[in-house]
Amino acid sequence: MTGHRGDRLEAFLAGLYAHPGVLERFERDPSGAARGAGLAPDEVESVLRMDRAGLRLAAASVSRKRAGRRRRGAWQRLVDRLAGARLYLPR
Amino acid sequence: MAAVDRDLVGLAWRPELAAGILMHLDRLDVVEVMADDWFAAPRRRLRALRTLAAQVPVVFHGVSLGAASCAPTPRRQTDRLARVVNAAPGLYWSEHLAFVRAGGIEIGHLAAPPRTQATVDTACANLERASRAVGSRPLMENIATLVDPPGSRMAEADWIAAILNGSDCDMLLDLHNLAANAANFGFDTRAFLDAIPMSRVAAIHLAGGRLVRDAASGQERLLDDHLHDVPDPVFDLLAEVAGRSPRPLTVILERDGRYPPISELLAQLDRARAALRRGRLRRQARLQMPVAV
Repeated sequence: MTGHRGDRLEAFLAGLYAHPGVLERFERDPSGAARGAGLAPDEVESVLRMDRAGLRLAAASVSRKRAGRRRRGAWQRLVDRLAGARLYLPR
Repeated sequence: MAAVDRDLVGLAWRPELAAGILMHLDRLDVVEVMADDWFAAPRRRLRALRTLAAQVPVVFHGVSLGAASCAPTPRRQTDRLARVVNAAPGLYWSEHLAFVRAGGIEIGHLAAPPRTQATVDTACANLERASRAVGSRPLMENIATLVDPPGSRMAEADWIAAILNGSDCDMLLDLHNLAANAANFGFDTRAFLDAIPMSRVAAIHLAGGRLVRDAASGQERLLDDHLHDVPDPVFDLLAEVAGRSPRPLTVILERDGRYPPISELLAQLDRARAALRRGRLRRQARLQMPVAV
């Protein structure tokens, strides 16, 4: 396990938010998942106290954002081009 | 970055709103441009920003700096920001007090880091690097979070104040983020406003959200989704801030989807102007009131 203690906690949170598999593992075995991520004992304690409802909703929100961004790509390119064309017009 | 000498009210630029914005520039004091949308733009397309900035004052807003992190912000992020922010004259640029990547994972969203002295220190160092790269200091925005970050040792307002003081950055105060966090974590919005240095608040974000329910527990949280109209309590908060603020405020309405007709967004801007006026009048009356001795 590499990184400093704060880095590891941020990386663990990033995994919980962005990777559904990490969240599922954490829900099944919170303590094991936190220790397995190399968190310090006080960090493990703080993670175990996390609001699970908020965590699940946060992960779902991240998932929607990521999916929305993928969908938006092609649409944005088209609309952007049209808007850009208007912006290029001489004033 | 230019000085702002009066309250300004405007809209965040989104490609879907482009036509409505361009047709109603007379109703907008300012337009906020999402810097990240232009990171990959070739030079020719960046010129469009200058054309826009010649028609209406613009401000730049970034979402992927990730300054409030234990890790240093990647150089490529600050370089991209500098390229866009300096492509056209803007009033200011802004970013978020959030981390967006860690351990090789790009979250794709803003996440609240543990609120500790360590993240205050690293955020200040990251903001110093970003400010040097861009050539000006950003306004930093409070974020909405559905999770009280584990390992935190500071209240949100104290953590923000410490970063503002340590980085010499001013604040972009997102009032719906404030309202959402207050609702989700049970704190008082006025106590939050008491704890942040109001003289450092230079800009305001307005947005809407909705209640979401966790199926497993049945619990509800207020989600800041930018897909709904600005709710009344957020306009009340705007009046409250205008009543406290000693400096001009730039107020931006953010909408990221389920776009209503532009007339409805303009009506919300009118409500924002009315709230600003209410607050400014209250402040004026308070300042003129004789002090009891």
